[in-house]
Amino acid sequence: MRITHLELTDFRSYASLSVEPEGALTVFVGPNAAGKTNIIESLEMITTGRSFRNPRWSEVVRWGASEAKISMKAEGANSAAGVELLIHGSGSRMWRSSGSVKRRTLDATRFVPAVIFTPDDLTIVKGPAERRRSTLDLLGDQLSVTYGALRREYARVVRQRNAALKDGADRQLLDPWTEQLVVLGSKLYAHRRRLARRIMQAAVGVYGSLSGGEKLEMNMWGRCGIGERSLGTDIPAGEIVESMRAELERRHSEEIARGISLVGPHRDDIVFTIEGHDARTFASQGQQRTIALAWKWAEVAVVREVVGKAPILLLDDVMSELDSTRRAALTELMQQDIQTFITTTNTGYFDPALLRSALIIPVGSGE
Amino acid sequence: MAFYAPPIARLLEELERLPGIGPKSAQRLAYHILRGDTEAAARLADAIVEVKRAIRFCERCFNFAESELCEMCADPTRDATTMCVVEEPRDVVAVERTGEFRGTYHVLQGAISPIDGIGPEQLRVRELIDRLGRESVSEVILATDPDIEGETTALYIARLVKPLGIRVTRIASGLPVGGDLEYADEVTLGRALEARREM
Repeated sequence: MRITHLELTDFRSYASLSVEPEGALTVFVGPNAAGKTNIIESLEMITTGRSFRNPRWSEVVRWGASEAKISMKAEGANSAAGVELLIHGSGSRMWRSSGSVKRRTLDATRFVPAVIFTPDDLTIVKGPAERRRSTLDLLGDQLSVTYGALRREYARVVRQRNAALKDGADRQLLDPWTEQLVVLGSKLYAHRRRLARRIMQAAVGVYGSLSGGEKLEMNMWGRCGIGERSLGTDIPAGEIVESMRAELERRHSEEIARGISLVGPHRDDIVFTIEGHDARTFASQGQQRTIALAWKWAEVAVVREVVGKAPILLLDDVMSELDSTRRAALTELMQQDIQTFITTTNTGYFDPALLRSALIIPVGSGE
Repeated sequence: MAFYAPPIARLLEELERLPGIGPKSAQRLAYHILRGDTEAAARLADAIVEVKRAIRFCERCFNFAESELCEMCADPTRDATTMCVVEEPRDVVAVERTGEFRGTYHVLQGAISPIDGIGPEQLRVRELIDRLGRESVSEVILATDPDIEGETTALYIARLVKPLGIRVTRIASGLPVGGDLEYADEVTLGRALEARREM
């Protein structure tokens, strides 16, 4: 699917904006604070229903306006879709697709998958574990409705169980929450592990070729009582359940004392090693950026594989953060028949050959 | 600036407190009442006051009732050996509509939710256990909501009731009858697959 039309009304800094992408690449050029990122954000919202900026919905309505509107038209080989998102100043949202109102976000966001790459993603190696989990989970949400539902339900169980622990709940009251933690948590762990494996399989090769043959490894470390086990090996569902139960039993008094849930996939982490060394401590900044790039490349491959269609690629101001070798690598990814939207302050970062076939849109100050 | 005469503003304010009623719906309702005759308005006001005066909780099952016992509890033809445990009085209505159940009910008046400060003491759990000790119930059907709070409440009650030697069952969750498989949402379909049975 390719986006053929994007229209913004009273969205963030834009009273109105209309973009009609032609070829594979659309570049928004302008100075800082000109509103380029708002366009990338609108594209992420209309395709996936969320924003990497995590705003309150009411914040995206232009100052003084009562509601914001994003509308998109997309065309595939033998399909077409029109999607509209209305965001009211009160924060309420309404999706419309092909003229009819969609009650659920996921009914309006299943047409065009998207992979987004922002400067924040460059901290994937050294940032907190939460950053790696959420990067993986946001991909999971796009790939499978079950993944998304499981993740939300599990998060609620953790909140409820933590509240019960803080209240000093007795064993009898805590046990049902523990049971739910195990049932939902073991499933989420298995899903997440499978997804991490897919990412690993695609990312390792990309990293190798970008780095001139360095060996990247990826692993998932959890607090589910499962020791270090290569992502490549399968762990039977029953074993995850048993490990979690045993680990919960082992750390029971610690959970009571600290008043929080210490066991479960909400404490999972993804660990990268380069040539056997922990990338968090040993990787240079360049190596970390290459990992981030390899990860995004892997996301594109995984979406293609699972959804069966190419995602659109949204790149917010990442060219300036990369050196020329990595820029070239990103350029190569963009040329894999993937519709790309990119913001930059300077077109000098781009391969001139690439720019010749691109639609370049100057973005002024707020209009 | 006041858009409405004070009595209208007051009505709007009260209507907007109702669940599911926003400013526009409140305005529509208020104007409907104003256009109608005085008797209609009096009937509505009367019905509201009367329902609060006449309805209380059933002393046995904690459903809404007009006297000490609700209709179901007062009906001697109902099977007192099976008991269906639900969260809210409206769930009783939902189960009754199926016409599949002829036993008695027990309304918990909520579900366990530590975030909201709701534990078993805030619900009618002790009353449930008391009833099971008094009455000769052979099966308890847990029909709390299929969300995580409802599921946890069901687990909690199951662990209290099973040691009493009473059979405990949980309603299945899955596909609605008459719905096309193709239109079922993926999560519901996934649940239904998990709860599949041998044929």
